Amino acid sequence: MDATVPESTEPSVQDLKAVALVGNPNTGKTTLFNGLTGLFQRVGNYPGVTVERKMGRMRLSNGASVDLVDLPGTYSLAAHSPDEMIVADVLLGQQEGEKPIGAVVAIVDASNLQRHLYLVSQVVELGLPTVIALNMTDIAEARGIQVDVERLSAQIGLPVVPVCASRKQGLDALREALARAVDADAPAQVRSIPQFPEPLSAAVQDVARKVQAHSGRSEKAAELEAFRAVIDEGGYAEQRLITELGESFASYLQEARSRFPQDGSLRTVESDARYAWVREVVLGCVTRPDQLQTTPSDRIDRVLTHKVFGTLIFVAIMGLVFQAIYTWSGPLMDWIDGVFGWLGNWAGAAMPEGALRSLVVDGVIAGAGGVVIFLPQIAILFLFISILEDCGYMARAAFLMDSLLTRCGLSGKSFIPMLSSFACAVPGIMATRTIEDRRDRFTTILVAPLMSCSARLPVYTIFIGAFIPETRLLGGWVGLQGFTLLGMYALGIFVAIPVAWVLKKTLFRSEPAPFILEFPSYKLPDFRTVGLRVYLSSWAFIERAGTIILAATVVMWALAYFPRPSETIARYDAQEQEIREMVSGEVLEGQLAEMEAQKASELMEASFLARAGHWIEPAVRPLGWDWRIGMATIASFPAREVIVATLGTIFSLDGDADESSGGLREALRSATWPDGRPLFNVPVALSVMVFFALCAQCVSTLAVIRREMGSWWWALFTFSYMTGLAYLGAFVIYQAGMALGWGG
Amino acid sequence: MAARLVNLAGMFFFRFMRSGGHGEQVLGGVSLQSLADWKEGDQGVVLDVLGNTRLSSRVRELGVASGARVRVLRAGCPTVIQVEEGRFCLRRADAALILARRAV
Repeated sequence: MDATVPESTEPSVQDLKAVALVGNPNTGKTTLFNGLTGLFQRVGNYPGVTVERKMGRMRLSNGASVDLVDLPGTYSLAAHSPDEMIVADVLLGQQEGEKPIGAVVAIVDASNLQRHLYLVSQVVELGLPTVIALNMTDIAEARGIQVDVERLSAQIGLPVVPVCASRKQGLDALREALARAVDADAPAQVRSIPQFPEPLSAAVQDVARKVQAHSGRSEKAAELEAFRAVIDEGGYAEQRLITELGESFASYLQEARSRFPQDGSLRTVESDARYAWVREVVLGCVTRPDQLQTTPSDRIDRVLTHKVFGTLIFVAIMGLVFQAIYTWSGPLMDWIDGVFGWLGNWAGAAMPEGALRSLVVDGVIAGAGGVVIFLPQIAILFLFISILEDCGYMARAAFLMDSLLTRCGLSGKSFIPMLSSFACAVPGIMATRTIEDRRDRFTTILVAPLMSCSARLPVYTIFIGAFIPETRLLGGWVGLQGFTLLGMYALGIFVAIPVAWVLKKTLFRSEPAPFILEFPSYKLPDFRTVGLRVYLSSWAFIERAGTIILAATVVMWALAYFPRPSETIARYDAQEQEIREMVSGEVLEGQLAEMEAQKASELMEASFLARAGHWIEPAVRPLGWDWRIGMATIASFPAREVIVATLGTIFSLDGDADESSGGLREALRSATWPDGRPLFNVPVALSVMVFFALCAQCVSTLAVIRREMGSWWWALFTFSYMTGLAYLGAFVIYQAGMALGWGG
Repeated sequence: MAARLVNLAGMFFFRFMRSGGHGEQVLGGVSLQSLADWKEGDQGVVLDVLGNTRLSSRVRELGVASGARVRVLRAGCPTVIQVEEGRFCLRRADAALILARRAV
């Protein structure tokens, strides 16, 4: 899934030194990374974890280049999951597929220096050449905070470079400092490292020796992991070492901890020692106002985090996002539709009739078009998410949603993934990576596909347009059609609540995860960062969804196309001959077209897919469906919106029926049971819509669930529970609708 | 040493309040409380973060250490607090782990 942006083709790519960029979240780290590397960056994944791996080429002042690795923002090297361990592993050179790190750029926020130096106190223990980038000095000064850069640099013993990442100031000085740090024979040495009380350091030394003796780790790596294993009881370093070194290590670790007298204060010891080090290095460097300051951000927050006004503004913003996703994307989607339609016609005209043409036109082009058409919606969604995130609003939205989500056992952090899932569950599921708690994350992944994504929209549109009357409700303010559409969206949310609740009570039983979230200062979004993110996300969507949906569409095309019994084809060929002999001109055209439609319909009925449709008919009868609806549902397994094209084909239309097509609407209205009763009525239409609102008919979602949760089992689980719910929902709405007499 | 003593005193009062006590203890112009009991706009100085869990470590990593200035920006659940120049939200039950001396 590497989204590759043009890379310079230097010969010595393999020999470039790697420099790691570390810092707290919301420090301007990504902006600095973009400023230093420009477009020369690659996004991928670390194997086995869900952390994004971002790398870029950076030129130093001496003309040499280095590979800059953008590590995920973190407050500390303490790790509770494989994902959080990445930063420490990369820095220690023991991350698979990553070069040993030659130097570190640690970015810190000048306005809150003490806290940011906590992470630096962990980084300096690694002994790597380190340059400190002091960001946001302008904001600090505006708040009356001044940092004496030279004194700070002298007291830490490392180069400190003031930068302003958003205005690209200080980047040249940073390139120069880094060039010196990378090339120097004896790079600047930190003057001191945090000192821990004797019992602790002795215990860590013992454990480190044991780790080094029983694994291939370097001395530094063994020391750091031993330290983390002793301090973070139940943390990831401990788990990993026990898995590697065996159960005996667990008791050894316990023994080492028990030598440390004050039980329960192990962690206090770490933060006390680190903040003591921080106080030492910043002594006399920082002048700040006596009183805590109220910033413009705080004033904005008085409104935006207000229980009433904040919630109203939140609802308004979400309304705007949805409005934009569905209205702004319209012209672009029509344009894409037109391009693929033209492409299909062009290919159809250029190729001889036969299986190959059908594969290219109905399989490949229609399949690719069906995916790419959602690109505008995805891009607009990511545009909004990136802007809201970059300006700092998302943390406030998560804060507002926390009390609601806590009731289903989740936390405010599940909000962004759920929101994204309204456009497409694939980016939604990927957005769960920000949820640290594994059980919360898995629960969110499993309910995210219940949100009505944009692929459901064509299904809703066509059935509502064809079967829901245009009655006005509430004195004409609300139309029944719009109300039904809203109901379909609400359905997903209302079903997700009990599902999440049950999952958190059973499979992922745990207390609501701790919810602690930093509120970054509001700022104007950096359009470069936003643009790059929209570009990379859109590209990832096309690559991932495009390949999977395309493959699945081709399979479904084959099942709907073959076996094409030769006697049927021969019979129609004879009939064509007959018609040609009897009539000519416009009448001939008309009769031939009619015959072609009949032929397509009959061939379809003989296909493997139709056989499957007949086979499941008894199962879908209680939903009010016949074999054709059942078959269209099976055919839309790769992607829900495929049902529109399939219904078009089945009801004897040409292949390119779309949701706006009046022809398909008419065909659906006039479709009948063998006994002449209309096939569709309001309960049947509702039953189809409810089924599609709740089902998991989307191969790319299932594939991304497998990847993010690490097992096909979960994809299967999602498919089963959602199909079960969809069947139940469709059954209930159909039976209830018939009982209430909506069937007409 | 003095800081430790203050911490111990703080823990004592914290326990006292948790075990059915209410209100605040005023000692020579300062009152010891957990942040969960503060009102919006209250400010003071952090004395200690209780607990040996992942959450209490995270709170410490976010700059909540003894001596840091703290202010409650929004009370309730979740609570929004300012610690020096950082602002973050956490649940009320977790804010109860932060022990601070409120300026009166």
